[in-house]
Amino acid sequence: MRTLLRIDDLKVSFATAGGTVRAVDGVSLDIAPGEAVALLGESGSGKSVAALALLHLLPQPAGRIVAGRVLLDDRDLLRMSERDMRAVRGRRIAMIFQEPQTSLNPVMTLGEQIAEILPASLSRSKRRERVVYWLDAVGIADPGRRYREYPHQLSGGMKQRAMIAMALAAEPQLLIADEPTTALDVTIQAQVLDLLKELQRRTGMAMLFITHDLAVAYQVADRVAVMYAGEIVESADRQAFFGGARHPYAQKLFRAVPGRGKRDEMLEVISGGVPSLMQEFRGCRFADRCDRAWDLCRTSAPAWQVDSGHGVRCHLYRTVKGVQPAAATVPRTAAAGARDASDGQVLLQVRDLAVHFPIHSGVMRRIVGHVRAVDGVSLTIRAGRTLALVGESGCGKTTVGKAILQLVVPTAGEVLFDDARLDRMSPSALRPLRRHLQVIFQDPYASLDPRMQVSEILEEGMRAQGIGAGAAERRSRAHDLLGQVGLGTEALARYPHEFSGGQRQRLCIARALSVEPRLIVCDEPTSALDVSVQAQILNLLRRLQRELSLSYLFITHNLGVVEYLAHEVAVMYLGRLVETGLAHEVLEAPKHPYTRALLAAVPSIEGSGAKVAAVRAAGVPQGEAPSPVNPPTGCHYHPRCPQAMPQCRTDYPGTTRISATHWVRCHLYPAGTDPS
Amino acid sequence: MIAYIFRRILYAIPILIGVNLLTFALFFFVNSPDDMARFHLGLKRVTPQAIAVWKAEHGYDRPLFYNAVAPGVEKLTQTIFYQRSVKLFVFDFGRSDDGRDIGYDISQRMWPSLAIALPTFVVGLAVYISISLMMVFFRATYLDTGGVVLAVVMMSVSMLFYVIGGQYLFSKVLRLVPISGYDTGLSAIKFVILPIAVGVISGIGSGVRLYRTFFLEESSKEYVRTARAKGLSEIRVLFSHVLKNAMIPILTGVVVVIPSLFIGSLILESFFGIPGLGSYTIDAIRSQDFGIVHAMVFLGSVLYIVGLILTDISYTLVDPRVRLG
Amino acid sequence: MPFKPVILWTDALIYLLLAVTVAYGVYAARHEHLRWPWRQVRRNPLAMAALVVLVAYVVVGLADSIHFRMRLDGSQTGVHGTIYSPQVLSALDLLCTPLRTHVEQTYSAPFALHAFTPQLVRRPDGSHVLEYPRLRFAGAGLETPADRARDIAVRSLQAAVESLMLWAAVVGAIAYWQVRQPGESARAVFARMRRGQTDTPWRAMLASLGVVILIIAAVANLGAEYHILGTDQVGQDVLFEAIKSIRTGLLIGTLTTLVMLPFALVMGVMAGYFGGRVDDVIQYIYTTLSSIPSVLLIVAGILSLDLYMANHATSFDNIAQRQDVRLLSLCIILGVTTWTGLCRLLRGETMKLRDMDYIQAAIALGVRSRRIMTRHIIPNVMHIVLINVVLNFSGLVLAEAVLSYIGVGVDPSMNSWGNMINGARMEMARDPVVWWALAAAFLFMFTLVLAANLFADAVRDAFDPRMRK
Repeated sequence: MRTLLRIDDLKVSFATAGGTVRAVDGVSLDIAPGEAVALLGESGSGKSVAALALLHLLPQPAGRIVAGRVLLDDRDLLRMSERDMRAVRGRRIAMIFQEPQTSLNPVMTLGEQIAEILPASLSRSKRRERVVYWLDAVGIADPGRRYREYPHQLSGGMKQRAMIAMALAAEPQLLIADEPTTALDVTIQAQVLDLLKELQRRTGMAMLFITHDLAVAYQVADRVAVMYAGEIVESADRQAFFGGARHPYAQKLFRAVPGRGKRDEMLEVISGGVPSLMQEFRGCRFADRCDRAWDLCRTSAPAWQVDSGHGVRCHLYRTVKGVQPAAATVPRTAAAGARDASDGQVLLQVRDLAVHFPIHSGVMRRIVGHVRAVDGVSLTIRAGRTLALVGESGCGKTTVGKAILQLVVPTAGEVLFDDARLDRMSPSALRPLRRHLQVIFQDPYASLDPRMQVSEILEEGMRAQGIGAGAAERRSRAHDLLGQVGLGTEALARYPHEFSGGQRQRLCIARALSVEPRLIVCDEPTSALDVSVQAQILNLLRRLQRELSLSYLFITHNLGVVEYLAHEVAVMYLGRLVETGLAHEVLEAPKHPYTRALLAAVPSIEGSGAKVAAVRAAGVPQGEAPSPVNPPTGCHYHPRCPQAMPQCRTDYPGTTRISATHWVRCHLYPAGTDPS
Repeated sequence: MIAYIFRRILYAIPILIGVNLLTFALFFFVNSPDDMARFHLGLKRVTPQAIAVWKAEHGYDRPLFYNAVAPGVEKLTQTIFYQRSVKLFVFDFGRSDDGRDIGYDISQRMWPSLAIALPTFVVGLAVYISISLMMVFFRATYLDTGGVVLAVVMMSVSMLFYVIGGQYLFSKVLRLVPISGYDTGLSAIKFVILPIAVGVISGIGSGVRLYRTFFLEESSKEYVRTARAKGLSEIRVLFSHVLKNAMIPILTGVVVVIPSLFIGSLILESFFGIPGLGSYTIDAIRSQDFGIVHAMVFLGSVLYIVGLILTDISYTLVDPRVRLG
Repeated sequence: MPFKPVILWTDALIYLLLAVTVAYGVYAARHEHLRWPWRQVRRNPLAMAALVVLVAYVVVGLADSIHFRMRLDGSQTGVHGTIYSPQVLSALDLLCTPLRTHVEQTYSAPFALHAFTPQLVRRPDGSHVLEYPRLRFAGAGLETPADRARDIAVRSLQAAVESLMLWAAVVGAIAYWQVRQPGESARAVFARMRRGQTDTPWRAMLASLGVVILIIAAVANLGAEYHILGTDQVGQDVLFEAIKSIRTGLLIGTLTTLVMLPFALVMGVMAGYFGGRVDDVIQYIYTTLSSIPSVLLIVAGILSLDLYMANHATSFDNIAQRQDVRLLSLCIILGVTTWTGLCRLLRGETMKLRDMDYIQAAIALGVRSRRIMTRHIIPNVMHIVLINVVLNFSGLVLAEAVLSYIGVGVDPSMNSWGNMINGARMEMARDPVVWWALAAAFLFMFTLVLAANLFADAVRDAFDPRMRK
């Protein structure tokens, strides 16, 4: 097979205040023309650094290429002058980045930005023609107008499409895509992934796709390379890799992904964290977290071994080639049963909750409209159970959580907690009740005060709520809390920045538990975490629910997590609930076209390819969610719905009960019909 | 846009009232008009008659806020507050202590001020931006480090040193330009060139440093990485991407002072004998003329508020994300 | 008691400031999030060398802030009981007694033995001649003026030897103190220091200290016998004036920010946290204040103050008090002009913080607003306050000179660099030029401002999260 790009023993280091970090430590990888290679790894594995190094785009002056060769047509990119490199960047190898919001220049029009990459020899009109062609090719409607528009006038998904158009306009032979869909909603992610595959097929370019998501890799890649702590630990064809990953790390990753199939078991957890890359490694880098490691793994670094195209860096495959050792037995704790019973006392009831944010305009700053972030949501949470609130970003799900906690003032509706109207209470009357309702946020780096010691963080709520008779008792309770969330008591005297993301999220859970709540609003608590860490947190949340009979309102866009954790599911679209039911009802027999579309859009490695295709046929939703300032008339979903009927454009559908616990708001199910 | 400007002008009114009340309080509450008269008449052995005459001459013989003896509307208008503060809103500045029309003096003196301040501003901006762009282009080299050190040293030197040093070197030793003075028309050039040069040089240190941080901050943004990934040359990245974006923070600090250029620079004008508003203020301080200071404070606030409005409008020119409304 | 202490308003504030600084140091040493950035500052050689210079200035300023009145000798006044001199002196005045008391007739050049301006002297024969009269104090100990060069050389050598010895002693003490591991000799530590391999940049600090010691020794040895920087129009030693101006410069640089700091902090945080009406009112106040060009606001304030003080002259009987009130008022008025900027920054930062998850979590825990502001918000905006204080310092020192020149600065009789420049600038027209007063003022001011700028840069780099990458 011909090779387009050959990376040979690439080493990159970063100078930091603490010392030299060897972010990439001997990576070799070949990419053939037209091939899509997924570089898979968790944060800190060095995958993005490796990609930036190829194009000499490392942050200067900290990043330095220490060794290696990168051959493109037998020319070593690493030894090229900056001047020659410019001819490679964009023209031979293009790159797109994770964050479309910040990766486009906000003060230049899209047309100018894309045209920049075209050869200056082309005439103005020719260039314009080419740009419009590419805008059209990436599925941007009305490209002639978009040409003159600025990035802020486009939605996130559109911006990423424009980024792709910019990358492809010079028709590169290789596209490096660095987590291009991570910042996007799942439906948009599906659209962008489809687009990339389609464009790749049409242009015959190769692609190096960097991702942390196994399922995304499964969707796009011909070949997968797994990175861990600066090294490639496994590399194989897609079929071989997803059919049977060999490296213990890769195997563990597969088992850590939450999903329906794992509902009744604890998720596999990779204990500990990625080792510091400042040290010199003697043995295998994964040895400390591997439960199949033996003495050899700690003393000598495993060599790269290839067997019929499937390479792996692990001592397990040292002696007997081609024979896969039996998978070690993994202790699997069964979770508590009886999960779908719908008993349990009603703890919190929300009726017709609305939160409207006013928009001011005009000379006197009159209110000219409202952002209808939440527009009539009713839900019930029972003691000891989990309600998952699912929806795309901007649908208002976070605002629902904040309104329940009275962190934003509801415009209308009722929030009843144990028959107390939280929304009617004065701040001082509310304060003692606050202990029952706690919250965990998405970003573990923003949710702990960096200026406070852990002990202060944990004791603050107890002090405010008068829990614990004195300082000594509060301190001993703080000790217990740390034990409960699996942290050592030495943490008490430390500051948040000394902890990793997963550990911080444990601290947030401990803080919430410090006032003995009955309901915790979990606002995307795992979306900022790596898969292996996410598994730890999900397991912890589940254990705590069992032990303390907590209720959770679990706000998320990750359907895998929902499938794993939720008892009931509520699907939200543009400020309103469109479908609610027990988890198995909604996930296995979705009624609303939007619910179906969401499920279809989730990239999945569960199930056969045929099934994937079938679900996909149900349709990835077209376009993007409209603005909640001006929701469409009738059913909000009709502009994106493949099954829209005339009625949908005029009337908002009423509630149709499917079963005692399952209802939907869609004209496809007129009240009284039997949908099954 | 029109509605926006209109609203901003409406907002300016309470602020100007506040400014007026503040200066009025400073001048007439802390000290009474009697104190002022006594002060001007030499403090010692001042007869009540002399005070009354001085007050009458300068229009301070009215009550502060309410004139009970005057008829009708004049109960309010025949007061110091009305005469001295309210009239400012229609740019009626009244008379100075030596009986001159302050409004006329201001209209005459703002042009020499502008002749110094405007070129200083324009040349300064061009120089600071060019030097800082060059330093960013050569960032992390000795040129950059040396430039930063030089900038710190230059901003640690008092402006008075630049003025005195400049006068000594160019006027006294080299005799290139007159030491001070002013003229109209083209012959003004020889008088204004040194103050302008001094004004520009004295600001280099802080100006260059500030703009350098703006440019550096923009260069670390992700869209710059995108631009590099497109294979653009460093010059192109700097000029068509970084500079354009850095103009936004630069404008924030720059546009707001444009209207205030009329007021001129107190130091430059006084040292170089330019008959502008700066030296007008200094003269007023030396002769303790409250009327002129009062007028200048009001004028300064008005020009500042105009500057704020201009700043907002200028954003719409450089930042497509900003829409006024 | 041979003296009676006098505590001026500004002295009290300086003591308070000193106490606050010490308290902050203790607090910072116990809190990792403050200790870490300060450790960054400590590793910066340039900043630490600048700090040595700043400390020297501060020591002079503090010595000049211990005020008292000496007891007069009863036999001279002929009054029974203790009588104290009306003149307020400071500890620094006592230390610099020869500089203070060696007052000549008028101008004299540095190290001159004769006056700068000729005087009409009547000869015994009745004729008048223009002559440069011999100075009263400069070189009084010399037998003939011709000995001057030799005398200066001897004294300089003496100063060099003394300072070298003192410096060597300090270096030795530090090397001995810095022995960390048992068995390491002080000599080895010295070698590490010399190569610049210590964590704290001792090499830079000691070099800077060496220069400071040398200057002090030179002043001590030469200053008593000569006017190192000449004398001014009234014959006062220029060096002494420049040294006395240090306190004024430091006060303007620090008190100005600090007197208004509580307002800026409380109002900025309240506006940002509560929003709504509170925010409207506070925004109105600072927009109004900041819309007046700061020079004009200062002019208005000081003019009004002048008038007040002139009409209430009796309340300010002694000159030290009058100078002090004027200085403090200037600090307050200047503070009003710098206060608004900080308030706006704090408001913006508080608004950002209020939406942070950890504040939301604290609200959800039922923590009261006041506690959230004091425990969460203020600690998280303090770095802005600190950066603002250090960055403002040098600008304010420079502003003092300009304002004193315009006539709205400190009391004209007070020692300040601005007054020195103002008094001397007309002399630039003389031929030959009287340059030394200007040079002294600019040199002292430049050294302080440069040191402050270098130190402030290091502090900003260490504390500003945007600079930390």
